[in-house]
Amino acid sequence: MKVNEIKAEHLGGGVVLFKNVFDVDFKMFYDIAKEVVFREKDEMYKLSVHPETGKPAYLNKSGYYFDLSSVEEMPMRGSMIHLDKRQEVIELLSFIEKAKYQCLLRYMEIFPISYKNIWWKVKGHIVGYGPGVYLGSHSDTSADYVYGLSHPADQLATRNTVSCIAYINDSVDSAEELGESNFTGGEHYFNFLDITYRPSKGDILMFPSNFIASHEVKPVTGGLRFSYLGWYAHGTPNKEVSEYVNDPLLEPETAITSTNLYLPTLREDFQEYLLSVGHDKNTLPYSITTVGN
Amino acid sequence: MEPIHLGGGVVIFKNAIDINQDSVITHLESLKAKAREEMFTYVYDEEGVPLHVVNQGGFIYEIDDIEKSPVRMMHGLDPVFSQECEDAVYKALLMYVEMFPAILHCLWWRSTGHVLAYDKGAKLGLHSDNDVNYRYGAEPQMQHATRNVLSALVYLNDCTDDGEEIKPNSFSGGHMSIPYFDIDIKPEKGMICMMPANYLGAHEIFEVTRGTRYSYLGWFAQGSADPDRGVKPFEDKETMAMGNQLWLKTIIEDYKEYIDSKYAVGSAPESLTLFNSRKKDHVNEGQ
Repeated sequence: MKVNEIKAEHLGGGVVLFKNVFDVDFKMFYDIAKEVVFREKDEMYKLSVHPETGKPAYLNKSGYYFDLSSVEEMPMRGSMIHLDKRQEVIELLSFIEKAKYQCLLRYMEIFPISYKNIWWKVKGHIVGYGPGVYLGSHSDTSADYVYGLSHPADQLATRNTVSCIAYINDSVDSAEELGESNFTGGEHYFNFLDITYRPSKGDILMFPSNFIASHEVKPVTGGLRFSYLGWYAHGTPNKEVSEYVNDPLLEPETAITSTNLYLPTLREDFQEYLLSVGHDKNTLPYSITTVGN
Repeated sequence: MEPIHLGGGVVIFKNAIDINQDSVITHLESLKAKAREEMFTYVYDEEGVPLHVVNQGGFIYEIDDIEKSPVRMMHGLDPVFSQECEDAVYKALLMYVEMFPAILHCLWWRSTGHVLAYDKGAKLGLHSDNDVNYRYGAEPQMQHATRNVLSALVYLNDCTDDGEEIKPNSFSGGHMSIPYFDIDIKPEKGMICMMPANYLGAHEIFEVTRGTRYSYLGWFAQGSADPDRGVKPFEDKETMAMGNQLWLKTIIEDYKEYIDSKYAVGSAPESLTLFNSRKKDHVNEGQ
């Protein structure tokens, strides 16, 4: 596993592509991703029969019935991956988180003001798309709120400031090229910025979480598409809506399995990085780390 | 009032509001001195010599920099004037949602506005409107700004650049720069500017070189109440006690009405009518 040379390409609107920035055993990553998303789906939904319509339906853990299509058309999630005890999984995720962090330093160099919006991170989770699956346009800060109708219990998304996706496998041109671990379709499209990104393993994509970087994932037409999606976020957790963020310095054991973690050394790491690439202390980006306090 | 998208979600609406300038500027002039006093708290050393000042947002300023800072006028604004600004901003907001529909479900409440005055020599460095000056281990008490989604400015007087004929009540300098999108905004009386409150909409106000620059600034924000952190939206103006945050109770209905009035029945693009499907989702939830 290694982090390659960090080359940032700003595609516009704060969307930065780090092409071919990490190397891992991608076959292993793909197999792990596949295993966790299908396991979570199986744990979440049981095939059943809808009591009223008599049609086949999924029954979820909370006792609700769903049309087969409504579940099959949704991306699958591997949200529990940080609870996985296997050493190779822990090492792989720890490496990816480190690679992301190095990209983040470069990202903040390009957009220094973003540094002020990064207090903690939500570690990545696996997102899986099978054939026919897509995701409509959305922003990563929306909690689907509607006044009076729905006061979302989970609002962590509203805290997101920078989104980060690491890609696990490749989108290929045609069905003929489909092999064991690639897919067709599944482009990531930013509606308001008119930017299309086509997944390629080893890439990391960083972009603002807010509405300007709203995006959709085009239908996957063959194969399985896997990515590892996480966020950087700000704000003290609001206990009223059960938010929590752990501090890895104070709770090192919890930090291994917890997904939401403060970034205690971000300031020092950013300063050290900026000096190492030749910035002086009195101007941006460095000065953002010392301004006003 | 036609919106002009300058890029990156920065949208201007020219002539969005009529400003009775003579009375408005006189009114604001009268509030300025007291507002300046309220803005800063002096910090002294052991011998009672002032070291520096701290503003309401917790940012430290050198004493010499007081003159270079804009004055924020939060209290005592004429309610009719404030309401006119709020109404014009809300009208512009509906147009903004039409341009960026994904913002709709991120609009929970609004922070009603205050006025900013930049006297000659004042400027403001590059910053974003959702920054509260956090540092690891030192979380600021008041954090409502971290909830800001969209910033809305109403320009109250004109900027005249060097070489231009000087307009009444105008100022020089004081352009707003939004560097990540290479945008330069020259304020115009009655113009509204909306921009993302996050780092993408990071902006800087250049030094005012003549006159005083006035603008009215408010925000739209999201997230549940968190009173200890300064998030305390009220249901309506009548019950609004302390603070300036109001739930946007009718934003979905108002936006729907706006779309319905603009497009013939059933002809609005699907991307603009996401309120239909979302409402259904929530009504059906749990069935």
